[in-house]
Amino acid sequence: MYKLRAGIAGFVTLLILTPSVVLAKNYCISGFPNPSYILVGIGFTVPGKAKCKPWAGFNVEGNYPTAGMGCTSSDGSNLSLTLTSGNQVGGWVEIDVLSLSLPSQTGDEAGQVLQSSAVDSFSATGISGGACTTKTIPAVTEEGAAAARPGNR
Amino acid sequence: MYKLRAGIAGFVTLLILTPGVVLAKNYCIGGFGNPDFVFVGIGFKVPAKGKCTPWTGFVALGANLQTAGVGCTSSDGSNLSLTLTTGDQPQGWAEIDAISLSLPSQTGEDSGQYIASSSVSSYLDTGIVGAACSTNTIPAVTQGGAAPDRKGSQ
Repeated sequence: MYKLRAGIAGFVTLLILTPSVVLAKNYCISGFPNPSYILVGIGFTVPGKAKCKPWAGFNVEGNYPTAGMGCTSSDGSNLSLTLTSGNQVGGWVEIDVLSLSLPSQTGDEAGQVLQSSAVDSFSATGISGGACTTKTIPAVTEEGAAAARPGNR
Repeated sequence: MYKLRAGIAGFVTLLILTPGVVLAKNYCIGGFGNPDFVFVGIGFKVPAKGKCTPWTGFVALGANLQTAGVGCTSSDGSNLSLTLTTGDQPQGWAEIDAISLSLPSQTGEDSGQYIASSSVSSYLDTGIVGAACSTNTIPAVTQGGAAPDRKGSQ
């Protein structure tokens, strides 16, 4: 009985000391014109009012790292993010400027795709964000790269 | 003699307690069209499988060209991809590099977007190489030093 109690106590202690493992969550943003284009911010959570948090993550289409920042307005009504993603094999970079209403976490985007020495600007509605558990970073492959597209197509 | 021993003991203790200082390493990426264009990620290490690590650093060129971004290792461990944004204020350009390095060789390619004068120029570089390095000097921005600075593609 003593050993059982000690074991349970040890397990509970482990849970308390490792909340980041037990509760690990990422943040996903989707709803782009290209439905496969989903941005995953590793460990990102909506910042508190008047706070900003760095974004480090990837795109589920492939290993296209995404870096940027998200800030919640001081009145708590809006989360804005500026995120830059690069696809080496596809030869493009995309800068997504997103605005999500809070608490709904839905909104719009203004995107810039840089490719072939040209800039393609686009806008999108129906963008939504939310906590997610997506964590698999796909490998870069020629086949995968061919299929992967920017967020606007 | 006692003081000498105490001094040595203190120094050794200092070394043990500050491994981050003693063993500090950065991560360099070179092999661009402009051979002087070398990214230095301060304290950056290749992330573990399925992990991403922020990149903060500079370009070891003749000015203080800061670089920010992120690097991610694929979940199968075969690839390290990085998206790095660099700016050169004196010369008025910004560059976004999408780099893909095979692992464990840490060699690969870069697709760069060079933005200046209200236009963008896309380019591809092969022969890109990444490795741990000890480069840690960040050049200052000077009017004279800024002039020779070039983007990664040239």
